[in-house]
Amino acid sequence: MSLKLPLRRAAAALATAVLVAVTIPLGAQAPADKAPAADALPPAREIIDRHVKAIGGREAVLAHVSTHATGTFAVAASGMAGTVEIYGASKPDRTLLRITIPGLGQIASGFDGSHGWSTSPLTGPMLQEGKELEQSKFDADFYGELRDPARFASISTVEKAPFEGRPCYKVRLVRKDGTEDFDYYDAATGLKAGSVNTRETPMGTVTITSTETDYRKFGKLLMPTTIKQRTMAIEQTVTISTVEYDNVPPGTFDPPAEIKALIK
Amino acid sequence: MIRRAILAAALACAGAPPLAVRAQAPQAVETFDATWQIVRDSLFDRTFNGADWDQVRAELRPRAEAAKTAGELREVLRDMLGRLGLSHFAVIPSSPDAPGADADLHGEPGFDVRLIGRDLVVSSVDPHGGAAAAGVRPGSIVQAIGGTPTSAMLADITDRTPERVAQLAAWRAVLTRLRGPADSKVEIAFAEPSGATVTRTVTRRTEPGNPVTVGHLPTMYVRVQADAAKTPAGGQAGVIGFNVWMSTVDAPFQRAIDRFRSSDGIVIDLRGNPGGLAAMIMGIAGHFVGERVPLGTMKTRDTQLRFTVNPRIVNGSGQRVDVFHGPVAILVDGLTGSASECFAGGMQSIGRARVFGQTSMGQALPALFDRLPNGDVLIHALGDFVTATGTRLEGRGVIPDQPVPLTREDLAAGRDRPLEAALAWIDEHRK
Repeated sequence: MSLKLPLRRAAAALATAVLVAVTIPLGAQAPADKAPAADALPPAREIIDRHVKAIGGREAVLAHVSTHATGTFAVAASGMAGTVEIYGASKPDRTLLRITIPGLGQIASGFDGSHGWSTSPLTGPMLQEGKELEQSKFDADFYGELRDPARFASISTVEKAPFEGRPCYKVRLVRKDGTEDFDYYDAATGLKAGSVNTRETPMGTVTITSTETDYRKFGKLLMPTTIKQRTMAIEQTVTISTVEYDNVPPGTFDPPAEIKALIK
Repeated sequence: MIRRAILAAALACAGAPPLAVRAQAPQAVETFDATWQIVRDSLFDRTFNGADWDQVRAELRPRAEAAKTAGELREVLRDMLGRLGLSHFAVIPSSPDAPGADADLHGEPGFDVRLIGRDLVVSSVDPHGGAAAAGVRPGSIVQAIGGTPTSAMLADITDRTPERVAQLAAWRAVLTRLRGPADSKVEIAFAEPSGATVTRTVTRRTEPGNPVTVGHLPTMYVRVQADAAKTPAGGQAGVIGFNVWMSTVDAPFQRAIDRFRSSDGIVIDLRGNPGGLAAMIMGIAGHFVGERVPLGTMKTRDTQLRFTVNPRIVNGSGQRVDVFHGPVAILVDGLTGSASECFAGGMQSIGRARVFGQTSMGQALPALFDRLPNGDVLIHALGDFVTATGTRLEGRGVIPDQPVPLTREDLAAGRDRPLEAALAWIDEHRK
């Protein structure tokens, strides 16, 4: 599997958690996309497949069933920093994210195959419902980096445009509920450079711009080790230092006791 | 949203004359430009509350270039931010205003004050603090601190100053004189309730509470207090107070709710609470509200985000419980600010609480904090807050459903009339 999807999901969850933590929730800041489209744009599938090949290939992605990544997180401008742990697994698709921030405590979120949840010393335990839960289920797809066409209503190339200073192909991914995400793939390397995702949170709809850089090989797969998220006036950085495959203990994705009590 | 702590830090170096002169404040222009740009790019109000932001830059940048000390630069920054006429814009110094001008404000005298009329009156005394040991009593009027007459400190407050504004201005004016290094002493003259004038030497002590530091913000000392109280008619009530909205409040607040879950009513005391992490209002409100309803909305430049209640239906032991359905009273006063106002105003707006006391600060803008090139920290408002019924709290405050004025006589007599009114109201529900 590619670790990227759990990271991407983690990125979205992290943005919400941290921004809520610092009182200023999310907003949109669309990437620059004014550049004229190239004369002949490659099909979206070709762009995605090129990326999958660049990170190690479809077989390498499908060779894994779980991941565990660790790293750090920082909001440099505000001086907030902490640690992050990200777990992902398939069959069923599950995720778990833990962020520990001195002065705030531990913020966690997860999807155990059925239930999406979050815990925070700021807001208390929360069980997801409605559209938010559907999104968590969608984002938990362990092999999501492959962008399986069966999961989308459409996937199309929009244009060739600069994204965070790099020429990129902008790909629109329309989910079956009609909501859109955008991926940006580096035109030179083929690697995904980032994305713009719109998500529902308890506070409303938020848009997060993520950039993925500093690809490093873990096992047979290339992973971005620096993920920057920009939301409104806030930029936060997740830096991945370790990635381990297929060694996630059973029970890792079990919700904590306070969430189990909410599920009853 | 952490008004008082920020002000404490911001004022830490204020008032001292420069002891030496540097050729130029370090990174003055870069810091000025960064401050101006952060506001330009993030302020929720694209009209800058009527200020011509480009003109402000053109006018003040030369002064920043000419600033010789960090203090002079900060004066320029405060001038710039002041043009916005909004709360939650402040610069927290990272260094003395001038070499040698540092001031340590970690020690506090152990009593609190409120402005009543034109008098600065002792409103509460910490039984474990230096003031109690020195014999300071509630209801005493502070006449001088360290030899400086209070009247001089409050000279800028006139009869035309709105009461809501005067309270904060008075607190600002005396803060740096009341506080100082831990274990230091300060001579304070009081007019006691008996009519006698006495000067007491008060030893400042380290602020009590659990120290919490979030990012670049100054360390805050978190205190949560929960007490059982009897209503006038013999009912049982819980009184829960805390001094700042930090995440370490959540667990003891949860325990207090578990303790008072079957009581006849709960009083939340937010008097003097200047705010903190605004997201917490969703979790604390969830102890009293069983539905995911918004307390209010934060409006930023690009979006609107709802502060939606998260019903707390699991107790501290992980067991399923019901939220507290009994009457909830919230106590506020002129030093209740920011997140506390969003909470009180939000609970009031959804009809879940009755508010008692005096009108709050009216400083309710969610804010961010950013490190500036010179190391100072800029607090800057990013959003406006309106309650569920669309009431803007900035510049207005939370107006109590039942106003209860603060009087010197009550303080001297040890009476807490806002609390008494809240407990009596709980009795009405018992009937």
